[in-house]
Amino acid sequence: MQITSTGKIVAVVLALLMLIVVAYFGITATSRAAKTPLNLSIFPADATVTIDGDAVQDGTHYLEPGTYLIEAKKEGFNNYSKTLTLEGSERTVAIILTPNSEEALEYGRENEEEYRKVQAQGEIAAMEMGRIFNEKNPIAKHLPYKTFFYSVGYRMDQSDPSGNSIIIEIDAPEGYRQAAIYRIRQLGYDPTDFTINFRNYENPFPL
Amino acid sequence: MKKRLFITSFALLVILFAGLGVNYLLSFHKVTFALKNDTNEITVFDSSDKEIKRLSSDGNILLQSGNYYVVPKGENLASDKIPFSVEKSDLTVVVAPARTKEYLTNKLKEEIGAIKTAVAEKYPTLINNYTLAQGALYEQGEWFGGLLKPKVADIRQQKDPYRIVLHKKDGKWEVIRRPEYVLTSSRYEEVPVEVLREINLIVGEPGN
Repeated sequence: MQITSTGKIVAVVLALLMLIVVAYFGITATSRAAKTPLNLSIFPADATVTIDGDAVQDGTHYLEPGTYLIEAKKEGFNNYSKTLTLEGSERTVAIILTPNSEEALEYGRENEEEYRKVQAQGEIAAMEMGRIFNEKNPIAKHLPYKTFFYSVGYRMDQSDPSGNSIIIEIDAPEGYRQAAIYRIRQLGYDPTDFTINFRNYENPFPL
Repeated sequence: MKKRLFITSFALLVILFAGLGVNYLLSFHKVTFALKNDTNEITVFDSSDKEIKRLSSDGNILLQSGNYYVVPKGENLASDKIPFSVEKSDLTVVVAPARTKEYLTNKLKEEIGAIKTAVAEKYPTLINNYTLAQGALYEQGEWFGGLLKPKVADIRQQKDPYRIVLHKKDGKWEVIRRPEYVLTSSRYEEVPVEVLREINLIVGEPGN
């Protein structure tokens, strides 16, 4: 079989194209390795969005695990600010700026479809947050637990910016606090691993 | 034509086996063992309890990814299994076994006077309302945990015990933070979590 010079050129071009494609995917895969995808949606689409001060567009961004400050603003709308902790699993953030002017309200009315798309992303974000919360706090599905003598519940730990930490709340009179702690063990958890707050309790021992 | 096909197939097989060989070699990771607390010897086992190697001093061995455990040996040292996992990189395993229960129990007899004095000095008035009970030493004997049981005149009076933890530093016992119903790792950051777990497992008698 004889290969013509045109055939050779085509073969070389194809080989080069293949090399470029492989290199592109290789570089992309390397640059995204150990990074977490963050899907960002914003309404209005032309609002200014920053992540830790760097301007970004809506779409998917690949970030190192860590805590980030996401801010968004547009004239006529209220500013938005949220601290987000990325820990490895894909996250979605849907930013809907609330209007504070007649022009902004009018913009909302005229762009209802765009608004609905971002709102749908918001529902995905809420589901993701729920899944992460349940993974991090499996005890939460057993709470609150109430008996005649004591109750064990939980509240969100506001000191954790990720919003995924809880504080166990025990409401029990003197003499039944150990029973409440024992209940946590019965549920299959070690109370050592939680932050526990006893209601109506004053520690008699000074700091 | 047949010769060319044979050479090509042979070359592909060589590349395949070379790749498999490189992959096999890369699956091994250097695991360094640092022997602490008078550990004389360690034996490394894999997850199927097969002995892999014995070391009588700090050293390293090559292990594939997986779960392993170490059994330490030494005078008055607990020979509890110390598990570790090899994943995608080299690893250092610090073997710092606790003392045996028997050793710690005997040591407590020597230390309990100083421990009670330290608690009384910290809480000179409050301590009259509590009894220090069910205490134990942990790790190398430098941690103490116990229950502070409320003294109640009427047995029907329901009271929960507090848990207290002390640490011996420079030959002196000190109360760590303040006693609580339950010791949590978030509040007692400076105390090894295994020590906290053990102290939390001390069960107070109901009504005391």
